Amino acid sequence: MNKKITSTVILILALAAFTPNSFAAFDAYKIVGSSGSFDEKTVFGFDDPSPYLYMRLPENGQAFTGSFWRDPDATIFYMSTTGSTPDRDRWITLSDWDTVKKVGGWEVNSNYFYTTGATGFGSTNFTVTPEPLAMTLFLIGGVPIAVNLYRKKRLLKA
Amino acid sequence: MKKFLLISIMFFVMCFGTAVNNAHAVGFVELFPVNSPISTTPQHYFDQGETPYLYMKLSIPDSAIAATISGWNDPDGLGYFSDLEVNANTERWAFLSNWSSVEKVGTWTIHANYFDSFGNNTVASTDLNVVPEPATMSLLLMGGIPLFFKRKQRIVS
Repeated sequence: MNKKITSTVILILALAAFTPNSFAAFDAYKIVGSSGSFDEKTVFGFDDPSPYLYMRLPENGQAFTGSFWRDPDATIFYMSTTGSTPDRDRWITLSDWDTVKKVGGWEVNSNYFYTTGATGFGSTNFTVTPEPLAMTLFLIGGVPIAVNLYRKKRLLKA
Repeated sequence: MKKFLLISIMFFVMCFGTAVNNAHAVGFVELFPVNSPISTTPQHYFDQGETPYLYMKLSIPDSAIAATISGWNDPDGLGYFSDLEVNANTERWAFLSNWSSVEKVGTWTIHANYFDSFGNNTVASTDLNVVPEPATMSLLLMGGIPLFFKRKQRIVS
């Protein structure tokens, strides 16, 4: 009986020793439409104002927050930070959003870090859609081409 | 037979655990205080007036960029942040730009944070000790010894 208990304890300890450290997550973590907003928004028009990342930190105290914004090509990362402030509710965006914005899916990975060593991580996504005018122009140009292609195919079949 | 089975399972768990840990060996490879922004020799004791630097050797995934920042906690528990560094360099030196105004004698605990564009987030810690400069110690002794003798004389009389 004792042997069984000892073996189980050793197994649990071995498992615990090799389990990666886990960190606390943000209390809230989402994309919103403006600074100060709490309403989640995951789809943005190309000409919409820049998306903001809203984060609520788990505790009070001086903390640094940083975020990497991955563009739809998944090759370029943009860094945005809030620096060290005591605020628990924070909103950050890309200051150069108008020059870097792209249609497609974006991923935002962020972390917080207190001087005490406490840290946490969050990840979320949002999508940028083409503006309506661009869509209209695309359709105006695309429909005749599609019709032409369809006709050609029919003629070839005949 | 049972013993053999148990030992085999434990061996497998340990090997698997090590393999998993090594596969995710991203972040700090080395972390310790040094005495200059080019040194890679650990130094844990600093005289007052000497500026300590935090040396960080990193393992960064290919094509990722990493942000590092460190929190320096003084002997009274007050915390200060070093500057943030964001690039792909695998060797970095961080320090407190306001060290001369915040330095205190005693043990400092430093926590460093690694965060990369792939979402890897880790923390490592080290510490350093600030000792009173020799001149301060001499002055303390010069003032302290006469006081000590006076007190002793009083007790005797």
